Amino acid sequence: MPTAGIDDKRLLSAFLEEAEELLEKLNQALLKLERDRTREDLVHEIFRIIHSLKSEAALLEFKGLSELAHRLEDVLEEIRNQRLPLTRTLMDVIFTASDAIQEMVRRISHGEKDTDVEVSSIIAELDTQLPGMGESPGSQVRVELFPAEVHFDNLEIVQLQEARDRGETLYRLTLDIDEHAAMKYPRAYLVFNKLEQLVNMVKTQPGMVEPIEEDAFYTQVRFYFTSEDDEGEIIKACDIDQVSSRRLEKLEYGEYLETELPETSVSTAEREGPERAPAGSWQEKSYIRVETSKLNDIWRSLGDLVICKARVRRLFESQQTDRAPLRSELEAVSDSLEKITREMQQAMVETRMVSVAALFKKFPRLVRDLSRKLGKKVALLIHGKETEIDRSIIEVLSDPLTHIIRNALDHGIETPAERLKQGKEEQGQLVLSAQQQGGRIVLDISDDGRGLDIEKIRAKADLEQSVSDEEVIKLIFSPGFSTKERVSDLSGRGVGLDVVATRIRNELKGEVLVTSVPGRGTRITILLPLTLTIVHALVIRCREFYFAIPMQDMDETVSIPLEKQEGIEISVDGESLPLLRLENLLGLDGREEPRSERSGIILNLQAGRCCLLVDELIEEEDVVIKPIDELLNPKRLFSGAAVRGDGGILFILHSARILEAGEGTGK
Amino acid sequence: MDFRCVSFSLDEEQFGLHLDDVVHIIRFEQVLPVPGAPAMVEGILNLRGEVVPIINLRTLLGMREAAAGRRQRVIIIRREARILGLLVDSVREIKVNEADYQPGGGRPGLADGAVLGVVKTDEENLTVLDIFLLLAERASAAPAAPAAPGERR
Amino acid sequence: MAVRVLLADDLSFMRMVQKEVLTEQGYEIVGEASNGLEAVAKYQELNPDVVIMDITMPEMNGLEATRKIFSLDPDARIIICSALGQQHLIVEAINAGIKDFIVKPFVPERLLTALAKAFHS
Repeated sequence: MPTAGIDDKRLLSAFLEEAEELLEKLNQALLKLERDRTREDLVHEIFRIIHSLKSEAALLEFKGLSELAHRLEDVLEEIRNQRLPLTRTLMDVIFTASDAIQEMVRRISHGEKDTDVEVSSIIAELDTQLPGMGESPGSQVRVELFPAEVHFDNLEIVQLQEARDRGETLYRLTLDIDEHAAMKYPRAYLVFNKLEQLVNMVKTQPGMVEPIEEDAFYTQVRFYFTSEDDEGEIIKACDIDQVSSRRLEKLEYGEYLETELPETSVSTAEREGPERAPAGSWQEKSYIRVETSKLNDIWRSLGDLVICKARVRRLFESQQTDRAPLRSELEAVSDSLEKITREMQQAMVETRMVSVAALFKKFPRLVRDLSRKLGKKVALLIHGKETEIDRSIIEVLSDPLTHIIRNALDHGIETPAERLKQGKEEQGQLVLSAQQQGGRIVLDISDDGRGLDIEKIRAKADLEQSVSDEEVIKLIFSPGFSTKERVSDLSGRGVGLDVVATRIRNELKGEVLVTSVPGRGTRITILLPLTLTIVHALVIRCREFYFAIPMQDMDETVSIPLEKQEGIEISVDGESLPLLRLENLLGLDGREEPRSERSGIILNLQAGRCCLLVDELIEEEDVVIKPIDELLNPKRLFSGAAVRGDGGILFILHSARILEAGEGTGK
Repeated sequence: MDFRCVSFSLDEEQFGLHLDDVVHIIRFEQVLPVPGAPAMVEGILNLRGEVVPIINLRTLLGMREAAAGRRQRVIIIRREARILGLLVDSVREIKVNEADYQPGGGRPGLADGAVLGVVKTDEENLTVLDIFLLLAERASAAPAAPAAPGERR
Repeated sequence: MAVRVLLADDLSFMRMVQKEVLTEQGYEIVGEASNGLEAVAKYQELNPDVVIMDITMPEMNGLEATRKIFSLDPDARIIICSALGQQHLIVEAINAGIKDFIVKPFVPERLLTALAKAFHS
């Protein structure tokens, strides 16, 4: 209420008088309208009445009343403008709202508050009756459900870089799916599917391929893609029923390509600053989405592990004079620990699994573009998008698969004219499939083209007829093999099938198989092992060799000043630790330049702790452990070897043996 | 029974390996050095994802070093889980008639078990070896240490 | 010239309703099929402009029939009818190349809009 006083009393009574009159008219009009809902004149009248009530209530600061009247006014406005049909339900809602308005006026006349009347449900009702935003042209701005910031992972960043180099534009398309649509995800998928044929899809929010979210999350969808096509085609692709609005924006690459990819080759990490660097501080953060069920498995195992460990501790602490029961219990617990750790490792491996869809998503566009360029008609069929493989494999497979597909289009599939002559369908088929089989991932790329010209390969390699066809076919993976005289830029870029094979065999421990039937087609099969023993390790250098130390065996790294480097012990954090020199343990020659500071790694193991002096700390890396022959491990100081991306080989240090060896020699 | 053999030479001597054990023959290029390995291990090669030790047979057999510039080959042999590479001079495949083959025999410097037999014809005179047995015997002769995890035998 | 439609649904009642709605709007129903096999056969025989295909049918389901028809005619226009809860089938059908899909129980308006848009590209 504004200022108190006589004026107010007079204002109030005037208001109430008028309000009663209006409410009377309102009732009449509503009843007539209910009987004949096509009476537009009545709608107008009711609108005017509510409008008046609202204004007066606002003037006298009756907030509840003015708010309710305002909402009702909005709805009436929509009805008045033919934007909202007056259904029976809507009629009921209007009645209810009017009743509430009357109640409020009544309370006011009794000196009570209008806000005492509970109207939140009525207001909610009124709101739902209002047509959804975006359905009518020129309506208000749609609320953005996603934060403007988007995070691209490593693979996506590579895609962006490549697209930028090709001169394509980066777009963001935001689609709103009709709220009332029964299945929103498939509707979004309709657009997604069409777009994939036109543009290079980079990222979608929410995800369009497994794993997908609950349907309700797809009321608003965002696609990030690059394209050099005209926007008309893109907009046309969005013209699907029940897509209520769309917005296409151009984005700047610069915003997303600031960060450099982490180097995969050996690089030096300069350590400056504090004397001590806790292990793990070099790692560039990267994120993966993990299915919660997979994490639950790990948590459960962790829980069991903690209990087991506690049991072991208690056993050691308890005083047992009789050894035998202690030993058998220890054995049982040890077995449990073994099993649990194995399960945990498996679960950990699985969190790194990602569907191959990420890998396949660029291929529809690639095939479309290439087939156009080559004047060929090719249909790309993809099966098994949801098959899961380890994350690290995806990045390594990208180039090889691209090359194989380019090859199939360039050399394999014939021109439409050629195909017709052979009695084939004009349109060639390229099938890309992924599946899990046994303990392996099987990737297949097959085409129904002309197949390999075995005789040509045989001639080029200068082989005799006695060499079997299968052997000859294997040669396409040898360096320097291309049966096309012209170096076409499509299959070029310095990547030959031999590099493909090498990558798959060396980096991925996989196999590549080729079968081909002249005139019928070629199939390339990539077999990859499903489980990898991966260890997170620190790569170090000692003399000219590189080694890896499992991070779990390490506490931290320290910097050892020159004067302390010669001793057999070193004091770290008040604790005296044996100081071991890796070059001595391994029997390596050569002298390093004495430096004012040298890196030491604190090994923290069950059997004890020590400080291991090395020449240089390189970087953290996930390494795949491969077994090595005993000949390579005479001192048993290695637990295996790892092949690095550049083909170099790392030996993985067996920390416990290093500790043992150090204690033995006392150096 | 006739059998096939991969024959290789080291200086003037000729040796043979059963074809069954031989996986691959490649030209010798660079090998990666191995820290702390025995002298006979020339280095390692990354072969299709496997870490393969390359053994200098001359060292293993107690012969002198190869003359510089001599063309060399690596024979990749495999038995069960073990895969090795042997650094030799030249290589060829031959067919051995049962009649020309005499099992047993020996060679100075090698334990008897390692020599499977000798092939003698007018043109040939070669000693057929089993490298795996040879290495196994060397290993058992040395003081044995327990196998480290991640090791193959 | 009227647009020629092939209806495929194992329920004759559904086909009847669709026929009514579509004929009223000027579409011509050139054929009806009650299972996937029949749908493929009739497609080849009648060569309709568009197919309204139910997903759940005996003999051969709608998804397989869709794939078969596309392999015969990559330019075919197919609209899938599905019930709630068949999301993955719809996605597969989209991958195969359908123009649109409707969810049962269907609203005539949606069927008509989907049909109209099917001829856009």
